[in-house]
Amino acid sequence: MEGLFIGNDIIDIHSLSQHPRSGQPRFRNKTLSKSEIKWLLTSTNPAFDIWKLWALKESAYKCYFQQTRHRFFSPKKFICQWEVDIPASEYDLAQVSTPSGIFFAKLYQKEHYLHALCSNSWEHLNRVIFQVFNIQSLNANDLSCQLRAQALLMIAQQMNFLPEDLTWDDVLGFPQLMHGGQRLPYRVSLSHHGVWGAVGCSEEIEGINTGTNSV
Amino acid sequence: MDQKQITEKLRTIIKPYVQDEEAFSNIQPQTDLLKDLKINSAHLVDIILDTEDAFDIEISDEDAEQMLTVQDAVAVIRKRMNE
Repeated sequence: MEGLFIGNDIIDIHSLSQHPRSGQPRFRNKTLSKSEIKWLLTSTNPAFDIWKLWALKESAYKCYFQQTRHRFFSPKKFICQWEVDIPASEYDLAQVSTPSGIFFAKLYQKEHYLHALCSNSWEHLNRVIFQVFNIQSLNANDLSCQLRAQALLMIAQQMNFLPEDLTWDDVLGFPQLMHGGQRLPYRVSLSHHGVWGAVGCSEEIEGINTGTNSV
Repeated sequence: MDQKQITEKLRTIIKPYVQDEEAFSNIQPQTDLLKDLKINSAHLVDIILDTEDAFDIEISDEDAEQMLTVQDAVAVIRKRMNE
């Protein structure tokens, strides 16, 4: 597996009422693998817990898309498996099987949102910096602008750039950071849902192993 | 049901999930459901289920994989209706 890739997905818990079908078997059968359905049926709150899987799947799809640039819609092909043997208090860990290999993910469950981060390397995943912020707009384009502005500010602060020197480029179908006309060696993933936006960013560092390395 | 009628019915299915009203008012066969209409990907599942109900068809996982644009969706519906 060449290169390092990241994805992230945020879910506004208070917006889940817009998805009244999520507890229904038909919705479940269109989105989950057999093993995921088996896990979900052990849950005391399957209509909510399905969104944990969804966030992991979405973050893995974004990661997969950075890697392959292949667009398609098949949530069932991104199969989550929880890492039950790894102690972690702040988040849950999972592996996601994808058409291009195994990816690794963290899921944060907070009072107002679920947030998943994913990479094709455990080591890389632990280097991802991220931020979740409140964004509100009635207009989809304005929402996207707000998200990108907030993300750019966070990255500029964390990576010691001037925000005004950074721009976005989407020529590959996903956001990349540019500085003086050159692509910066950072992987970025943006996400928004409801009133929450999230950004994940990581430097592409030579020498980090990819694949099934340990946590 | 001809292509125009299918497209019109599909439009009414998509409408409640659209986040970019301007793009929806200029909808074209090549309009991308996620990128152009800014439909949340979870709502794509709702659109697939609504389409199954409205047209009395079953959309397989393989069909759903390629339902990214309006014309993709219309092609899947036509294929399934002709079976």
